[in-house]
Amino acid sequence: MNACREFRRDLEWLAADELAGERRQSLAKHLGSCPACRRELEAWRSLLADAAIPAAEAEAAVAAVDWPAVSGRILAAAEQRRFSASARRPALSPAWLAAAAALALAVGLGLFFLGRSMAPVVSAPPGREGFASAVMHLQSGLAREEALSYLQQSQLMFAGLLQDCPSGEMAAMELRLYSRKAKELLLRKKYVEQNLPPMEWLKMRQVSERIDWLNYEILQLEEQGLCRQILRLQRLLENERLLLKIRLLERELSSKPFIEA
Amino acid sequence: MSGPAANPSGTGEALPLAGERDAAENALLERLAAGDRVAFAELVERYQKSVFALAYGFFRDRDDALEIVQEAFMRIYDKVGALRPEQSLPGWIRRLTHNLCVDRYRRLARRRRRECGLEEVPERHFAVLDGPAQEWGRSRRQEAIEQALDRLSPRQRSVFVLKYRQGLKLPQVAQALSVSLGTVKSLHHRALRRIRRELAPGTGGEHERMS
Repeated sequence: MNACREFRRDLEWLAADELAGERRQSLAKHLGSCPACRRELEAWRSLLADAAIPAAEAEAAVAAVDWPAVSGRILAAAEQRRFSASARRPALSPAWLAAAAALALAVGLGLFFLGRSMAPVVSAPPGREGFASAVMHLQSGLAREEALSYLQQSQLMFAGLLQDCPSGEMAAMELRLYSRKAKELLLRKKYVEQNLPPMEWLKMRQVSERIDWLNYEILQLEEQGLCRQILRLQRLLENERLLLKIRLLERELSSKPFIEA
Repeated sequence: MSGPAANPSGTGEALPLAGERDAAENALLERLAAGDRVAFAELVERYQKSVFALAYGFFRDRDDALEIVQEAFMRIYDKVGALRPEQSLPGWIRRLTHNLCVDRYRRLARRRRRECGLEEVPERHFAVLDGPAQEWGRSRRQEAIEQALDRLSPRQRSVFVLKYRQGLKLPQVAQALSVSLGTVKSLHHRALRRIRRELAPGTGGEHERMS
């Protein structure tokens, strides 16, 4: 009985698979000859087995979640946080802006006259300058093409949103389609703005921010009550005049020659 | 020592306790630090199921786990820039998720003590009512175990969940919680005794006296 008392302390550790070495061996030997301790060990094992979550249950719980909707909610919340953080950033006062502009002008004029007075008599070979400029223009042209294609895809997708809302089986299919397209656009945007000339870059940035925001909203769509959600997005589209903004920018970009002279 | 935790298939990329950062992880972190939103979307896509699985192990409740997922990624979004170079991203996410689970568990425990209305009964408490008759006995026992788990202290519950629902060995649990192995063994012992006492009053008591 005293032996049992000694060994029973180790039973929970054996059941938990945390007993090793000599103690494990001597307990195994004792269990071979003690039915009471075997019963006690079985009680611990059964308790721990019931306390664990079966793999099938965990997998079923994961499978039951609408993951695109979850990630959509997370991304939308992050986006909202980013917007509110930028809104909180203090803007420069008009006086500061005027002072900064005057300083920039003074520095610019100074550099200009200094450059003229120190300019070498022999200028750089025209061929190299011309080549660098041609590469820059080519890059701008390619960036413009990429931006145009991105804008056209966004326009097509949002125009589709403005049509009648789907129902039944169509709703699930449309939802998958919208989510896929929204993700594609979000991933593409990263490469769109690089190498655009500054003014075009700025305009593109403003429009693509709004496109991103709408895409995050689309990622949050759920099958249940899809029509109601789509109506809300249609109202957002109209209020923002996003399609009009996209079309105007598209027109501006496409009016430029592929390589400017 | 820092082996991967058990992660049932289909529950996302495993969240190891620690490990060296690889080039891909570094690249992702750089993009995140630069405020790249696509990188954040990739991160969410990659780890959301693992975070859910971790939280589900803690609460065994889908809604609680989903709230942890949302909260964890917002915390990641805010703090990822402060990640130290020696910290691995998945290890950091695991620790952050675990801490959120413990905080939530504390809040729930406080609320349970204050009130015991029907609204507070987790979803799983109703689930057994829909099960087939032959499952009834087993479900009731599991239900009793869940209730006993709800009465553990946050630290005891952490040890229990990491050991029996994340598949860690006790030294790994100690590493995950940054406490000594002796402390973990003591918490483990007290957790098991308490659960057993709750399930069958008398049995745990006998062992309590023996140990």
